[in-house]
Amino acid sequence: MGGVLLAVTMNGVFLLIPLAYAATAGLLFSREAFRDLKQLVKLIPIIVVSSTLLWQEEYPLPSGMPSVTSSPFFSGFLIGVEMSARAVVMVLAVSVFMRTVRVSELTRVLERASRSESFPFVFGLALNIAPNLERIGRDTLNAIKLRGGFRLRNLASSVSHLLSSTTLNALAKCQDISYAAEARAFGSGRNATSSAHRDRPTPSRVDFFVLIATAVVAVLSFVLKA
Amino acid sequence: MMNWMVNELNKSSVEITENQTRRLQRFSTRDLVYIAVLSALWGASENLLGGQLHAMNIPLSGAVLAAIGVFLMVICRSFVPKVGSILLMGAVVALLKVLSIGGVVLSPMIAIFMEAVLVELAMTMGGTTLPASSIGGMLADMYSIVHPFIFQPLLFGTSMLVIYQKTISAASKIFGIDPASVILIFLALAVSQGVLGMIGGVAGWKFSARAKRALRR
Repeated sequence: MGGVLLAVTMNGVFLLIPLAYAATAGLLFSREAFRDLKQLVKLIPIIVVSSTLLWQEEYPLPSGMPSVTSSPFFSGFLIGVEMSARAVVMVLAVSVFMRTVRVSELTRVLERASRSESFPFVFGLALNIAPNLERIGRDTLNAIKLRGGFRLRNLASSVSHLLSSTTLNALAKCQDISYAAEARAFGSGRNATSSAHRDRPTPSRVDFFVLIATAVVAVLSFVLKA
Repeated sequence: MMNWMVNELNKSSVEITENQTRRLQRFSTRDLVYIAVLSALWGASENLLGGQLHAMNIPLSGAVLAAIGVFLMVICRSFVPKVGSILLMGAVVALLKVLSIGGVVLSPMIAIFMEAVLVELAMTMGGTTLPASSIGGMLADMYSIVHPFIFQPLLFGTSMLVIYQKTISAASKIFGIDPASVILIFLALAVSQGVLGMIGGVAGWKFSARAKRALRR
Protein backbone atom coordinates (compact mmCIF):
# COMPACT_ATOMS: atom_id res chain seq x y z
CA MET A 1 0.00 0.00 0.00
CA GLY A 2 3.01 2.23 0.60
CA GLY A 3 4.06 1.46 -2.96
CA VAL A 4 0.66 2.54 -4.30
CA LEU A 5 0.79 5.78 -2.28
CA LEU A 6 4.27 6.58 -3.55
CA ALA A 7 3.26 5.79 -7.15
CA VAL A 8 0.40 8.27 -6.88
CA THR A 9 2.41 11.06 -5.23
CA MET A 10 5.79 10.74 -6.96
CA ASN A 11 6.45 11.83 -10.51
CA GLY A 12 9.33 12.12 -12.91
CA VAL A 13 12.68 10.72 -11.84
CA PHE A 14 11.40 10.19 -8.28
CA LEU A 15 9.21 7.33 -9.55
CA LEU A 16 12.38 5.26 -9.63
CA ILE A 17 12.26 5.09 -5.80
CA PRO A 18 8.85 3.33 -5.54
CA LEU A 19 9.76 1.25 -8.60
CA ALA A 20 12.92 -0.02 -6.91
CA TYR A 21 10.98 -0.55 -3.67
CA ALA A 22 8.19 -2.54 -5.35
CA ALA A 23 10.68 -4.60 -7.39
CA THR A 24 12.72 -5.41 -4.24
CA ALA A 25 9.58 -6.41 -2.36
CA GLY A 26 8.58 -8.64 -5.28
CA LEU A 27 12.01 -10.28 -5.43
CA LEU A 28 12.12 -10.86 -1.69
CA PHE A 29 8.56 -11.99 -0.97
CA SER A 30 6.78 -13.10 -4.13
CA ARG A 31 8.48 -13.58 -7.48
CA GLU A 32 5.18 -14.79 -8.97
CA ALA A 33 3.91 -11.21 -8.65
CA PHE A 34 6.05 -10.29 -11.68
CA ARG A 35 3.81 -12.57 -13.77
CA ASP A 36 0.88 -10.20 -13.11
CA LEU A 37 2.73 -7.55 -15.13
CA LYS A 38 1.51 -9.50 -18.20
CA GLN A 39 -1.70 -7.45 -18.05
CA LEU A 40 0.38 -4.38 -19.00
CA VAL A 41 2.27 -6.02 -21.87
CA LYS A 42 -0.18 -4.75 -24.52
CA LEU A 43 -0.92 -1.40 -22.88
CA ILE A 44 2.61 -0.12 -22.25
CA PRO A 45 3.81 -0.08 -25.89
CA ILE A 46 0.58 1.69 -26.90
CA ILE A 47 1.03 4.29 -24.16
CA VAL A 48 4.71 4.90 -24.97
CA VAL A 49 4.15 5.14 -28.75
CA SER A 50 1.09 7.40 -28.48
CA SER A 51 2.72 9.73 -25.96
CA THR A 52 5.91 9.87 -28.09
CA LEU A 53 3.92 10.87 -31.14
CA LEU A 54 1.31 13.12 -29.53
CA TRP A 55 2.94 14.81 -26.52
CA GLN A 56 4.09 18.26 -27.54
CA GLU A 57 4.91 19.89 -24.20
CA GLU A 58 8.30 19.99 -22.49
CA TYR A 59 9.08 17.23 -20.00
CA PRO A 60 9.76 18.75 -16.54
CA LEU A 61 13.21 17.48 -15.54
CA PRO A 62 14.86 18.17 -12.15
CA SER A 63 17.12 21.25 -12.02
CA GLY A 64 20.65 20.64 -13.24
CA MET A 65 19.61 18.30 -16.05
CA PRO A 66 19.69 19.48 -19.71
CA SER A 67 16.40 20.57 -21.24
CA VAL A 68 14.76 18.33 -23.85
CA THR A 69 12.70 20.96 -25.70
CA SER A 70 14.83 20.46 -28.83
CA SER A 71 13.20 17.05 -29.28
CA PRO A 72 9.43 16.91 -28.70
CA PHE A 73 9.42 13.17 -29.39
CA PHE A 74 11.95 12.57 -26.61
CA SER A 75 9.87 14.48 -24.03
CA GLY A 76 6.80 12.49 -25.14
CA PHE A 77 8.81 9.27 -24.82
CA LEU A 78 9.85 10.24 -21.27
CA ILE A 79 6.21 10.93 -20.35
CA GLY A 80 5.26 7.50 -21.70
CA VAL A 81 8.01 5.84 -19.69
CA GLU A 82 6.93 7.72 -16.54
CA MET A 83 3.29 6.64 -16.99
CA SER A 84 4.35 3.04 -17.60
CA ALA A 85 6.63 3.05 -14.55
CA ARG A 86 3.76 4.30 -12.40
CA ALA A 87 1.47 1.51 -13.70
CA VAL A 88 4.19 -1.11 -13.07
CA VAL A 89 4.64 0.10 -9.48
CA MET A 90 0.90 -0.01 -8.78
CA VAL A 91 0.35 -3.45 -10.31
CA LEU A 92 3.44 -4.89 -8.64
CA ALA A 93 2.59 -3.41 -5.24
CA VAL A 94 -0.98 -4.75 -5.32
CA SER A 95 0.15 -8.15 -6.66
CA VAL A 96 2.80 -8.59 -3.96
CA PHE A 97 0.23 -7.64 -1.33
CA MET A 98 -2.44 -10.03 -2.63
CA ARG A 99 0.01 -12.90 -3.06
CA THR A 100 1.69 -12.56 0.34
CA VAL A 101 -1.39 -11.95 2.48
CA ARG A 102 -3.30 -15.12 3.30
CA VAL A 103 -6.91 -15.35 2.12
CA SER A 104 -8.08 -15.72 5.74
CA GLU A 105 -6.33 -12.49 6.73
CA LEU A 106 -7.67 -10.71 3.65
CA THR A 107 -11.23 -11.75 4.45
CA ARG A 108 -10.71 -10.56 8.02
CA VAL A 109 -9.63 -7.12 6.73
CA LEU A 110 -12.66 -6.97 4.45
CA GLU A 111 -14.83 -8.11 7.34
CA ARG A 112 -13.64 -5.20 9.45
CA ALA A 113 -13.92 -2.74 6.58
CA SER A 114 -17.46 -3.85 5.72
CA ARG A 115 -18.46 -4.24 9.41
CA SER A 116 -19.98 -7.56 8.44
CA GLU A 117 -18.98 -10.59 10.49
CA SER A 118 -20.06 -12.92 7.76
CA PHE A 119 -17.69 -12.15 4.89
CA PRO A 120 -15.43 -15.17 5.52
CA PHE A 121 -18.45 -17.50 5.52
CA VAL A 122 -19.86 -16.05 2.30
CA PHE A 123 -16.49 -16.09 0.54
CA GLY A 124 -15.64 -19.59 1.74
CA LEU A 125 -19.01 -20.98 0.66
CA ALA A 126 -18.81 -19.25 -2.73
CA LEU A 127 -15.30 -20.59 -3.29
CA ASN A 128 -16.37 -24.13 -2.43
CA ILE A 129 -19.58 -24.18 -4.43
CA ALA A 130 -18.27 -22.40 -7.56
CA PRO A 131 -16.73 -25.52 -9.20
CA ASN A 132 -19.98 -27.44 -8.60
CA LEU A 133 -22.09 -24.71 -10.19
CA GLU A 134 -19.66 -24.38 -13.08
CA ARG A 135 -19.91 -28.13 -13.72
CA ILE A 136 -23.72 -27.98 -13.69
CA GLY A 137 -23.62 -24.98 -16.01
CA ARG A 138 -21.20 -26.70 -18.39
CA ASP A 139 -23.43 -29.82 -18.54
CA THR A 140 -26.46 -27.63 -19.27
CA LEU A 141 -24.52 -25.68 -21.91
CA ASN A 142 -23.46 -28.91 -23.65
CA ALA A 143 -27.02 -30.25 -23.50
CA ILE A 144 -28.36 -27.05 -25.10
CA LYS A 145 -25.63 -27.19 -27.77
CA LEU A 146 -26.55 -30.82 -28.56
CA ARG A 147 -30.14 -29.69 -29.11
CA GLY A 148 -28.95 -27.11 -31.67
CA GLY A 149 -28.59 -24.21 -29.30
CA PHE A 150 -25.90 -21.52 -29.13
CA ARG A 151 -26.05 -20.72 -32.82
CA LEU A 152 -26.28 -17.12 -33.92
CA ARG A 153 -29.99 -17.41 -34.75
CA ASN A 154 -30.98 -18.68 -31.28
CA LEU A 155 -28.24 -17.19 -29.07
CA ALA A 156 -30.56 -15.06 -26.91
CA SER A 157 -32.94 -17.94 -26.12
CA SER A 158 -30.00 -20.31 -25.46
CA VAL A 159 -28.43 -17.89 -22.99
CA SER A 160 -31.78 -17.34 -21.25
CA HIS A 161 -32.39 -21.13 -20.99
CA LEU A 162 -28.91 -21.69 -19.60
CA LEU A 163 -29.20 -18.90 -17.06
CA SER A 164 -32.72 -19.71 -15.90
CA SER A 165 -32.08 -23.44 -15.37
CA THR A 166 -28.71 -23.03 -13.61
CA THR A 167 -29.99 -20.13 -11.46
CA LEU A 168 -33.14 -21.98 -10.40
CA ASN A 169 -31.05 -25.07 -9.67
CA ALA A 170 -28.64 -22.99 -7.56
CA LEU A 171 -31.44 -21.21 -5.67
CA ALA A 172 -33.10 -24.53 -4.88
CA LYS A 173 -29.89 -25.71 -3.17
CA CYS A 174 -29.77 -22.66 -0.88
CA GLN A 175 -32.38 -23.99 1.55
CA ASP A 176 -30.45 -27.23 2.13
CA ILE A 177 -27.13 -25.38 2.44
CA SER A 178 -28.52 -23.00 5.05
CA TYR A 179 -29.94 -25.92 7.08
CA ALA A 180 -26.55 -27.64 6.88
CA ALA A 181 -24.79 -24.46 8.01
CA GLU A 182 -27.14 -24.03 10.96
CA ALA A 183 -26.73 -27.70 11.88
CA ARG A 184 -22.99 -26.98 12.10
CA ALA A 185 -23.82 -24.15 14.57
CA PHE A 186 -23.12 -21.33 12.14
CA GLY A 187 -25.35 -18.44 13.21
CA SER A 188 -25.53 -19.09 16.95
CA GLY A 189 -21.77 -18.61 17.25
CA ARG A 190 -21.97 -15.24 15.54
CA ASN A 191 -24.18 -13.86 18.32
CA ALA A 192 -21.84 -14.93 21.09
CA THR A 193 -18.47 -14.05 19.67
CA SER A 194 -17.27 -11.08 17.73
CA SER A 195 -14.37 -11.00 15.32
CA ALA A 196 -12.22 -9.49 18.07
CA HIS A 197 -12.44 -12.71 20.05
CA ARG A 198 -11.46 -14.98 17.24
CA ASP A 199 -7.80 -15.73 16.61
CA ARG A 200 -6.04 -12.55 15.58
CA PRO A 201 -3.13 -12.44 13.15
CA THR A 202 0.15 -12.05 14.98
CA PRO A 203 2.59 -9.70 13.23
CA SER A 204 5.97 -11.27 12.60
CA ARG A 205 9.44 -9.71 12.41
CA VAL A 206 9.16 -9.59 8.63
CA ASP A 207 5.94 -7.53 8.93
CA PHE A 208 7.68 -4.99 11.20
CA PHE A 209 10.67 -4.87 8.86
CA VAL A 210 8.41 -4.17 5.86
CA LEU A 211 6.52 -1.49 7.81
CA ILE A 212 9.75 0.27 8.82
CA ALA A 213 11.21 -0.05 5.30
CA THR A 214 8.02 1.41 3.80
CA ALA A 215 8.09 4.34 6.22
CA VAL A 216 11.79 5.00 5.48
CA VAL A 217 11.29 4.85 1.70
CA ALA A 218 8.23 7.14 1.92
CA VAL A 219 10.03 9.73 4.06
CA LEU A 220 13.11 9.59 1.82
CA SER A 221 10.99 10.06 -1.30
CA PHE A 222 9.12 13.08 0.05
CA VAL A 223 12.33 14.66 1.39
CA LEU A 224 14.13 14.22 -1.92
CA LYS A 225 11.14 15.55 -3.85
CA ALA A 226 10.92 18.60 -1.58
CA MET B 1 -33.59 11.53 40.55
CA MET B 2 -36.69 11.65 38.36
CA ASN B 3 -34.69 13.24 35.54
CA TRP B 4 -32.06 10.53 35.81
CA MET B 5 -34.74 7.81 35.61
CA VAL B 6 -36.35 9.45 32.61
CA ASN B 7 -32.93 9.72 30.92
CA GLU B 8 -32.14 6.06 31.60
CA LEU B 9 -35.53 4.96 30.24
CA ASN B 10 -35.05 7.07 27.12
CA LYS B 11 -31.54 5.67 26.64
CA SER B 12 -32.75 2.08 26.95
CA SER B 13 -35.60 2.61 24.48
CA VAL B 14 -33.16 4.16 21.98
CA GLU B 15 -30.81 1.20 22.50
CA ILE B 16 -33.65 -1.26 21.95
CA THR B 17 -34.62 0.50 18.71
CA GLU B 18 -31.00 0.57 17.52
CA ASN B 19 -30.54 -3.11 18.38
CA GLN B 20 -33.73 -4.01 16.57
CA THR B 21 -32.62 -2.02 13.55
CA ARG B 22 -29.23 -3.74 13.65
CA ARG B 23 -30.90 -7.15 13.88
CA LEU B 24 -33.25 -6.33 11.00
CA GLN B 25 -30.37 -5.25 8.76
CA ARG B 26 -28.12 -8.11 9.80
CA PHE B 27 -28.00 -10.97 7.36
CA SER B 28 -29.46 -14.29 8.43
CA THR B 29 -27.73 -17.55 7.56
CA ARG B 30 -30.09 -18.10 4.64
CA ASP B 31 -29.39 -14.56 3.34
CA LEU B 32 -25.66 -15.25 3.40
CA VAL B 33 -26.14 -18.55 1.60
CA TYR B 34 -28.16 -16.83 -1.17
CA ILE B 35 -25.45 -14.18 -1.53
CA ALA B 36 -22.69 -16.80 -1.63
CA VAL B 37 -24.46 -19.05 -4.14
CA LEU B 38 -25.37 -16.17 -6.47
CA SER B 39 -21.80 -14.84 -6.24
CA ALA B 40 -20.44 -18.24 -7.19
CA LEU B 41 -22.94 -18.39 -10.06
CA TRP B 42 -21.79 -14.97 -11.32
CA GLY B 43 -18.19 -16.13 -11.32
CA ALA B 44 -19.09 -19.41 -13.01
CA SER B 45 -21.20 -17.69 -15.69
CA GLU B 46 -18.31 -15.32 -16.51
CA ASN B 47 -16.01 -18.30 -17.05
CA LEU B 48 -18.57 -20.35 -19.01
CA LEU B 49 -20.34 -17.76 -21.12
CA GLY B 50 -17.29 -15.55 -21.51
CA GLY B 51 -15.43 -18.30 -23.29
CA GLN B 52 -18.47 -19.30 -25.36
CA LEU B 53 -19.28 -15.75 -26.52
CA HIS B 54 -15.65 -14.99 -27.37
CA ALA B 55 -15.45 -18.24 -29.35
CA MET B 56 -18.53 -17.15 -31.33
CA ASN B 57 -16.96 -13.67 -31.91
CA ILE B 58 -20.01 -11.92 -30.53
CA PRO B 59 -19.52 -8.12 -30.44
CA LEU B 60 -20.04 -6.35 -27.10
CA SER B 61 -19.67 -9.69 -25.29
CA GLY B 62 -18.33 -7.75 -22.28
CA ALA B 63 -21.60 -5.84 -22.11
CA VAL B 64 -23.57 -9.11 -22.31
CA LEU B 65 -21.56 -10.52 -19.39
CA ALA B 66 -22.15 -7.32 -17.42
CA ALA B 67 -25.90 -7.67 -18.12
CA ILE B 68 -25.78 -11.24 -16.77
CA GLY B 69 -24.09 -9.87 -13.66
CA VAL B 70 -26.92 -7.34 -13.33
CA PHE B 71 -29.48 -10.16 -13.73
CA LEU B 72 -27.91 -12.05 -10.81
CA MET B 73 -27.48 -8.93 -8.66
CA VAL B 74 -31.17 -8.06 -9.01
CA ILE B 75 -32.12 -11.65 -8.07
CA CYS B 76 -29.83 -11.35 -5.03
CA ARG B 77 -31.54 -8.14 -3.91
CA SER B 78 -34.95 -9.67 -4.48
CA PHE B 79 -34.14 -12.70 -2.31
CA VAL B 80 -32.12 -10.67 0.24
CA PRO B 81 -33.88 -7.28 0.37
CA LYS B 82 -31.35 -5.72 2.77
CA VAL B 83 -28.92 -2.85 2.27
CA GLY B 84 -25.45 -4.11 1.45
CA SER B 85 -26.42 -7.48 -0.04
CA ILE B 86 -25.29 -6.51 -3.54
CA LEU B 87 -22.10 -4.83 -2.24
CA LEU B 88 -21.20 -8.01 -0.38
CA MET B 89 -21.88 -10.02 -3.53
CA GLY B 90 -19.65 -7.68 -5.58
CA ALA B 91 -16.80 -7.91 -3.08
CA VAL B 92 -16.97 -11.72 -3.05
CA VAL B 93 -17.05 -11.96 -6.85
CA ALA B 94 -14.13 -9.52 -7.20
CA LEU B 95 -12.07 -11.65 -4.82
CA LEU B 96 -13.17 -14.87 -6.56
CA LYS B 97 -11.93 -13.36 -9.83
CA VAL B 98 -8.41 -13.16 -8.42
CA LEU B 99 -8.44 -16.85 -7.56
CA SER B 100 -10.13 -17.99 -10.78
CA ILE B 101 -7.77 -16.12 -13.10
CA GLY B 102 -4.79 -17.24 -11.02
CA GLY B 103 -3.32 -13.78 -10.84
CA VAL B 104 -4.11 -10.24 -9.78
CA VAL B 105 -5.85 -8.48 -12.68
CA LEU B 106 -6.96 -5.13 -11.31
CA SER B 107 -9.25 -3.95 -14.09
CA PRO B 108 -12.01 -6.65 -13.92
CA MET B 109 -11.88 -6.62 -10.11
CA ILE B 110 -12.54 -2.90 -9.94
CA ALA B 111 -15.14 -3.06 -12.73
CA ILE B 112 -17.12 -5.81 -10.97
CA PHE B 113 -17.08 -3.95 -7.66
CA MET B 114 -18.10 -0.64 -9.26
CA GLU B 115 -21.01 -2.33 -11.07
CA ALA B 116 -22.14 -3.74 -7.71
CA VAL B 117 -21.87 -0.27 -6.13
CA LEU B 118 -24.04 1.26 -8.86
CA VAL B 119 -26.77 -1.40 -8.64
CA GLU B 120 -26.68 -1.21 -4.82
CA LEU B 121 -27.09 2.57 -4.92
CA ALA B 122 -29.97 2.37 -7.39
CA MET B 123 -31.83 -0.33 -5.46
CA THR B 124 -31.21 1.26 -2.06
CA MET B 125 -32.54 4.62 -3.23
CA GLY B 126 -35.31 3.20 -5.40
CA GLY B 127 -36.20 0.16 -3.34
CA THR B 128 -36.49 -3.42 -4.61
CA THR B 129 -38.68 -2.35 -7.53
CA LEU B 130 -38.72 -2.85 -11.29
CA PRO B 131 -37.73 0.76 -12.17
CA ALA B 132 -34.82 0.66 -9.71
CA SER B 133 -33.66 -2.70 -11.16
CA SER B 134 -33.70 -1.35 -14.70
CA ILE B 135 -31.97 1.93 -13.77
CA GLY B 136 -29.34 0.07 -11.75
CA GLY B 137 -28.78 -2.32 -14.63
CA MET B 138 -28.48 0.53 -17.10
CA LEU B 139 -25.91 2.36 -14.94
CA ALA B 140 -23.88 -0.81 -14.31
CA ASP B 141 -23.67 -1.69 -18.01
CA MET B 142 -22.89 1.88 -19.05
CA TYR B 143 -20.08 1.90 -16.50
CA SER B 144 -18.28 -0.81 -18.45
CA ILE B 145 -17.69 1.63 -21.33
CA VAL B 146 -16.58 4.40 -18.99
CA HIS B 147 -14.37 2.07 -16.93
CA PRO B 148 -11.19 2.33 -19.07
CA PHE B 149 -11.36 6.14 -18.81
CA ILE B 150 -11.47 5.88 -15.01
CA PHE B 151 -9.15 2.93 -14.48
CA GLN B 152 -6.36 3.89 -16.86
CA PRO B 153 -5.85 7.42 -15.45
CA LEU B 154 -5.75 5.80 -11.99
CA LEU B 155 -3.07 3.40 -13.19
CA PHE B 156 -1.07 5.58 -15.58
CA GLY B 157 -1.72 9.02 -14.10
CA THR B 158 -3.73 12.06 -15.19
CA SER B 159 -1.42 12.50 -18.21
CA MET B 160 -3.54 9.68 -19.69
CA LEU B 161 -6.46 12.11 -20.07
CA VAL B 162 -4.21 14.42 -22.09
CA ILE B 163 -3.21 11.46 -24.29
CA TYR B 164 -6.92 10.63 -24.86
CA GLN B 165 -7.68 14.22 -25.83
CA LYS B 166 -4.71 14.40 -28.21
CA THR B 167 -5.63 11.00 -29.72
CA ILE B 168 -9.18 12.17 -30.45
CA SER B 169 -7.86 15.41 -31.99
CA ALA B 170 -5.28 13.56 -34.10
CA ALA B 171 -7.80 10.92 -35.24
CA SER B 172 -10.34 13.59 -36.20
CA LYS B 173 -7.67 15.42 -38.28
CA ILE B 174 -6.49 12.21 -39.98
CA PHE B 175 -9.97 10.90 -40.81
CA GLY B 176 -11.53 14.30 -41.34
CA ILE B 177 -14.26 13.87 -38.73
CA ASP B 178 -15.46 16.29 -36.11
CA PRO B 179 -14.13 15.50 -32.58
CA ALA B 180 -17.71 15.88 -31.36
CA SER B 181 -18.62 12.89 -33.59
CA VAL B 182 -16.17 10.69 -31.69
CA ILE B 183 -17.87 11.64 -28.47
CA LEU B 184 -21.23 10.90 -30.11
CA ILE B 185 -19.98 7.43 -31.07
CA PHE B 186 -19.00 6.75 -27.46
CA LEU B 187 -22.38 8.00 -26.28
CA ALA B 188 -24.13 5.73 -28.77
CA LEU B 189 -22.09 2.76 -27.49
CA ALA B 190 -22.91 3.73 -23.90
CA VAL B 191 -26.63 3.93 -24.67
CA SER B 192 -26.64 0.54 -26.41
CA GLN B 193 -24.86 -1.02 -23.44
CA GLY B 194 -27.29 0.74 -21.11
CA VAL B 195 -30.18 -0.90 -22.95
CA LEU B 196 -28.55 -4.32 -22.44
CA GLY B 197 -28.19 -3.53 -18.73
CA MET B 198 -31.86 -2.54 -18.49
CA ILE B 199 -32.84 -5.83 -20.13
CA GLY B 200 -30.70 -7.65 -17.55
CA GLY B 201 -32.35 -5.75 -14.70
CA VAL B 202 -35.90 -6.34 -15.94
CA ALA B 203 -35.16 -10.03 -16.65
CA GLY B 204 -33.72 -10.44 -13.15
CA TRP B 205 -36.77 -8.82 -11.58
CA LYS B 206 -39.23 -11.00 -13.50
CA PHE B 207 -37.19 -14.16 -13.00
CA SER B 208 -36.93 -13.65 -9.24
CA ALA B 209 -40.73 -13.37 -8.95
CA ARG B 210 -41.17 -16.62 -10.90
CA ALA B 211 -38.37 -18.34 -9.00
CA LYS B 212 -39.96 -17.45 -5.64
CA ARG B 213 -43.25 -18.98 -6.83
CA ALA B 214 -41.52 -22.10 -8.16
CA LEU B 215 -39.46 -22.63 -5.00
CA ARG B 216 -42.48 -22.25 -2.76
CA ARG B 217 -44.11 -25.25 -4.43
